[in-house]
Amino acid sequence: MDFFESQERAKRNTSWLVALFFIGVIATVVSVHVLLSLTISKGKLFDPSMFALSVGSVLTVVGVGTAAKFIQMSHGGSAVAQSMGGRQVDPGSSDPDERRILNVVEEMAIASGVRVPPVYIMEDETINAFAAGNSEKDSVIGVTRGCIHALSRDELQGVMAHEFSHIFHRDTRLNMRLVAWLGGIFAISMVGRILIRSQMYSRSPRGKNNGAAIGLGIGVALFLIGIVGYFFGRIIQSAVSRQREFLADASAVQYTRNPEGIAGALEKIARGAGSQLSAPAAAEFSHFFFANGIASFFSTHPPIEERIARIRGTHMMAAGVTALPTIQQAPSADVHQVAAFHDVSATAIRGARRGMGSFNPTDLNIARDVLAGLPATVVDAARNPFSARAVICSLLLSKNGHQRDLQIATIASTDTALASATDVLARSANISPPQRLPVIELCAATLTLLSPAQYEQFRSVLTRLISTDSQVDRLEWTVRVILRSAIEGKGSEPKPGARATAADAALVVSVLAWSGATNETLATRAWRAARGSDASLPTAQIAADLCTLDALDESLRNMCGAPPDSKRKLVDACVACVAADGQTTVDEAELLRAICAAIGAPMPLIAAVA
Amino acid sequence: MLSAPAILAVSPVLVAGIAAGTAIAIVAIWLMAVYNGLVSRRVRVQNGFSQIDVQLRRRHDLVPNLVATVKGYMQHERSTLEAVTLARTAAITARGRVTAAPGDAMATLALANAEGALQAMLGQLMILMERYPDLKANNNALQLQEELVSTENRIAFARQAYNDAVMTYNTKLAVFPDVVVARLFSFASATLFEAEESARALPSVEFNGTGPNSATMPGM
Repeated sequence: MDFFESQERAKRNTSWLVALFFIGVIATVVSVHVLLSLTISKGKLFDPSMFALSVGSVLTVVGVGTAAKFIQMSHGGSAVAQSMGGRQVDPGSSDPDERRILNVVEEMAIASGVRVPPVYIMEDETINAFAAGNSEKDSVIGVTRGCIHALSRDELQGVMAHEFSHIFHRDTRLNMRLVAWLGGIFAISMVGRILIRSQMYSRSPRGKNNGAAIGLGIGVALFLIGIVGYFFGRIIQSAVSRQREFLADASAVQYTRNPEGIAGALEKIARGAGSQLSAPAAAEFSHFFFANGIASFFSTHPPIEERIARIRGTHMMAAGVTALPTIQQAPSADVHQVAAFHDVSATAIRGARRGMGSFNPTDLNIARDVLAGLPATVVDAARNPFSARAVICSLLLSKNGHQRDLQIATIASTDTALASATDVLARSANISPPQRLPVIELCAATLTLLSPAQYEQFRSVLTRLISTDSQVDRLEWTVRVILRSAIEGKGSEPKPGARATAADAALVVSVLAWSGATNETLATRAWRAARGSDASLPTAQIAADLCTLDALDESLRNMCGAPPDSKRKLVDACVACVAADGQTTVDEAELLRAICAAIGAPMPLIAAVA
Repeated sequence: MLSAPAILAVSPVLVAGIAAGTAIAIVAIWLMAVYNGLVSRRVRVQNGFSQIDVQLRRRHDLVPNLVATVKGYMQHERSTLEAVTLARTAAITARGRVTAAPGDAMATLALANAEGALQAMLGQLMILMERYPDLKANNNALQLQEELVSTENRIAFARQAYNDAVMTYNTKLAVFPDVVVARLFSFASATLFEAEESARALPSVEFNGTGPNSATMPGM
């Protein structure tokens, strides 16, 4: 399924969820009304004032409960991970277990073009994992200690591929909404429980009197209603969750071409390692997990045996149709080409477009080789917040000696240590163009560890560094966009009230058309190719002097909130534009990836493999 | 639609009961939000500490190599080298105590002091190394020195991030209304990672860019 189709479907599922939620609220209102009528109005069912009261009280409680959860969820995946007792794994960790999970996650993120998600670890010996986040940009991945301990690398990769599927298919977003909406319904059950308890305490000293009896009546009523709401909520939770799990399992097999990885992980859970978490919040978030996080009648996951059977079944079908290289067998000759290539073929770009929202074993191998091919000093530096800043600065240094000295001096005026670290790094390590984007991604993941004050300072250094040559080039823009979305978590969120117009799409494509062209004829040719893909674009490209990177920024922000279908059109037009002349520079390909990342459409690695 | 007095006429007790219920719900939800906020800050403090810890371990690992490399050249500085080794051992012990009891204020302070002393000793050693021209020609020593400088910078940076997180968290613990929730669930305040003056004052070495090797030791 196309990436954008699955986005559409996730949106539809969310609408269904909202509809179910309203049915749940109505059911609760009716039960409140019936219970109140029976207990207090002595069986008089159609008392309008009683009805108004039921509606009012239920709506207030549900409204406040939902709002509170929405606020909590708006903090993104990290809020969920923290309420589950997760601790963010330090990107520079040297613990072998932690290193392994970080490597697996980094490879997958770089292969698929999503931001490297922060990894949270839960100190629990059972095997489980989850992905959470409102969008790809604030997603996090959580794993239990047992998961990394007990699973082999292949199995871990299978589990992580499953979690990445949840991110690609926007299941994480759906899950966050689910928690928020259900928070409202669960709030009623909470009020019921609190009231019953308070009645227990307040009744004993005063003995039996009329007020207490009525109070207890209300308590019992709310408790029963709470149960109605609770059951209804849990039924929604498990119904939505189960079908998504099968999809994620199937996707994990598709991405890794290795059903034994994920099947092996599930078998280990079934054979006794278990998946039940001790964290108190586990029930609320149970639908986030890789396997059942709680033992309950309302399982959010299908039975493990069934999942294993389906995974192995998919494999057999897949094996009959295509003989795809497995992780171990992928030809590594392709891979070495990547580090050395200069131009990318149009086929490769179109291939990457088709693979959007996924990755495959070849991409994973390339990503692994790109990471392994990075100079050790750069990798080491990228994994520490202090030196990751120096890596970013060194990428932005000019090749012109005088300009470069000026830039170093600019950094030194705020932070001498950073300036000398940048200087040393720039002299000792050479980062080739295709390595730049992965390096920026690695740094971005590490830089989330900066304190707000440190980030502010770094941002002002960057701004000044970028403005020393009084023009913003493509690389500088890419750095700015990626860092902003990774660290501030909003970056290219749509501005409130802003709406994407046809002019926004035209501007984005025009920037690409000009960036790959040396003269107007070539730009026009690229533009025509883009129009061939999206006929709604205007007849001529926007003039080069209007295609500034600031304007691009603005337009991408607007596009960010556009419906998936408009995004699909834009991405296809961009791909057609870049592929038009058959020869694409690494710069162009990276700009394309950055543009896609900015609108939340992860473009997998564009390999120069013919 | 019904007017409010019509509803009140039904049963004042009922209205009071439901109003109380709603109020309890709102309070419970507010409590939860504040609690989550505190937990999230506390996690940030813990993350900040593990950042420092990684770099401290790196510093501890570097010291024996450095001492072994310079020993041959610096025959006359045996006492300094021994002091460095001793300071390292003390720092490792202090670090072990913090690992055993994370968040313990006394242990954290002791570690900060031990590390402050080690840092001061290393600074002195670096300055002494400047006096040995042979050492400057030794690639291994230069590399270790560079490594140490970069580690010191990383520690300083991680400490800043940690202290920022501690300040935010401690402020949250102290202000109303969070203080109520913090007391209710006994959230303990966090300790800044800062050596006491006495611990750092061992050798009188100026680190702020005026030392003889300020070009290679910025920001220490």
